[in-house]
Amino acid sequence: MALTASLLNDTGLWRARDLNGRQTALCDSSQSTGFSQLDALLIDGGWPRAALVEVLCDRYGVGELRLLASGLTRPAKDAHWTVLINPPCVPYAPAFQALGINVHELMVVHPSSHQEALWSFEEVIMSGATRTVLAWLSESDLQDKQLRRIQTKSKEHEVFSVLFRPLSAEQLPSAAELRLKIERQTIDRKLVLSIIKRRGGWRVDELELALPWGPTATDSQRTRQLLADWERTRREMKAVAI
Amino acid sequence: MLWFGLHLPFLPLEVFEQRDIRDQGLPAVVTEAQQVFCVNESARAAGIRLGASLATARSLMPELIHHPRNRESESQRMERLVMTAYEFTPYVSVADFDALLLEMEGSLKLFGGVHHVRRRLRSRFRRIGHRVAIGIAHTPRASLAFAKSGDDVTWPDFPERSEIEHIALQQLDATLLDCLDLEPKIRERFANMGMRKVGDIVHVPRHELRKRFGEELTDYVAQLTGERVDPWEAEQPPEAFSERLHLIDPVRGKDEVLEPMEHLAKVLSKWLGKSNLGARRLRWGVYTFEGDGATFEVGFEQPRHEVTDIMAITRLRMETVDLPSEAMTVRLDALRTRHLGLKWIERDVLGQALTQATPSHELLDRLTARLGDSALQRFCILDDHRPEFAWMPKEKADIHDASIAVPELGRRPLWLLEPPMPVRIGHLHIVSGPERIQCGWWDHEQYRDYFVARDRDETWCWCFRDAQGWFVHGYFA
Repeated sequence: MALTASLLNDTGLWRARDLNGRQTALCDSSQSTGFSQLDALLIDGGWPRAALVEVLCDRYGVGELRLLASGLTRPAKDAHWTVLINPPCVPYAPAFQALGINVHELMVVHPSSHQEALWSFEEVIMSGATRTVLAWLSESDLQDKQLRRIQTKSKEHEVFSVLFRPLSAEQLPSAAELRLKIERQTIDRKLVLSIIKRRGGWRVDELELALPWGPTATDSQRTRQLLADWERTRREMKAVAI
Repeated sequence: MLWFGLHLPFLPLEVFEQRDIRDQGLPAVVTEAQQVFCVNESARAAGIRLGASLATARSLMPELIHHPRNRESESQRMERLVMTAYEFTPYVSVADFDALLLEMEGSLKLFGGVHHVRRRLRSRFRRIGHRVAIGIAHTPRASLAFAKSGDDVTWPDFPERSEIEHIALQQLDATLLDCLDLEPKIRERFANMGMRKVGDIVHVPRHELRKRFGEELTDYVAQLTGERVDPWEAEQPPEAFSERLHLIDPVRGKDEVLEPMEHLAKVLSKWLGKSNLGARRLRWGVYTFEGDGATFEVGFEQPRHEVTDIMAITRLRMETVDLPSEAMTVRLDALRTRHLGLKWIERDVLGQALTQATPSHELLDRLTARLGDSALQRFCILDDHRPEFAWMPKEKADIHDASIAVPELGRRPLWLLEPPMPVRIGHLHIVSGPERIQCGWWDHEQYRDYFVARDRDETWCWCFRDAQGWFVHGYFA
């Protein structure tokens, strides 16, 4: 009996009855995603502490970082690098600071090749100096076995690794523990998300998450009026110049 | 004070001996102005004496090896010997071209007493090819005299100050005058007076001595016995490290060149240890026989002095550099070092003490070594309203920016486009704004109206318009 209890308490063991709705309590180690609907669907009750997570999206600026925000921020005493490997744009430091990431602990790596990117990905995971890695890899060079390796290492070294991939990767097999696909972001700041793959559960489509913050569409009437005025002034000035 | 006088009677010969191991033990002399200046034991056994002319010596022993004296390599070697002596004490002085002074009172305990220090000094110098005679006394000059005399007295392992003085003064009485650093003329006068030992002159009333031999000798005697202080300036370790290793046989390939490199790293590590320094930046050079080759630098986020740490990063760096296929010379320069003093106070940005190698530093070093300096970017925030100027890569400015107010969540985009991307307004759907940012009249004046817009792909952009038109400056990720 004791053996059964200990087996059941082992987080590595998944029970089929957990399939629909989480039965186990939120384990201490995981970090809530900040979205209760999403937490309820994830076996850890939040972002997996040690795993490779894939986020599929084709564009920047659809809320992909805001989705991950709670996984990126850590208690202050847990001083570790947040590493971005080959990001598509420059991280705007003041905004990251506002997000709760100490910019001193933010590191961006610009590898010059896919091999270097993989090497630094693994190096960062294994260093023990980081808990969070975000990476953008070259899709055409990426192989299944490389993903498997990253997943294994992330698990082993307890790193929350996030890999951003294009939507076209949805059909490709992947060793990632959790695969999320960002469908779109609505005008009222709702993120429409599909869970392609999760541990202990089936695919979930079109999950609507309300992003807690972000730019808002306000005063659009006033703004449009202002722009129209500008345009008119410009035309008039042009006419005068001619 | 406990002075160790080190005399290296064979130094002029030893600098030549190391060049060719096969010569060791064969009769050899060093000559200066065609006269025998230094003679080894087998040559001495053949009857060759100091001061004899080279012709005389050759006639006694035609197969005699002889070298003209090389003062330059002697003084170079002396510098190396000073470095070796630093392993024992920080107070090292060069007393003569062939003599060193070490003040050992402070480090006696560390090395386990007089007997052990003496043995370790001898074997340490023997390992690098030098025979050394050691004299111990309470004054520098007496210790040098004892070293030259070669007389051995028994010392307690941890002598008291009074004891040191007592033993040394006793030994001094019996020491031959020849061992003192006296002008030949004065020495001859003493000999003519029948004075052979130091004891014969130290007990002569000083005013008599002064009257007959002058102020200089009286001062010398007073310094010998310790009645007068005798300050010696301690040598300072050199500030810069630059060593090269010329190889006898060329090395091929990266694996082979690692061996001489590791040797240099060991020398560096020793040098760093002596001055309590850690290396921040090193430059390696690998050169062919013709003198051309490659150099590369390695950097350390935190000062390092361990050979293994230095070599680990160096090895990584080497993977990405092209080295000559055949190397004859390896060179190592310490470009930047940092004092490790007050170790326990210094902490880095992550609140980790600087002394031990932390994973975060190791990671930085490894990434930089493999990917290059420019592949890594770190940030700090500046107090400026203009987005381009509100942050900068870390290495350019080390500003403590904890006090700078951060923008409200969601007001600023997480991704920034550098430089801003021109865009046609027709592609954008403005959803809020404007926010005027006008600042920086003192350098790059900016006058922009920022808007939040959604483009056709439903991406949330941060855009502005200025005199040139519309630009996307960032994405709300």
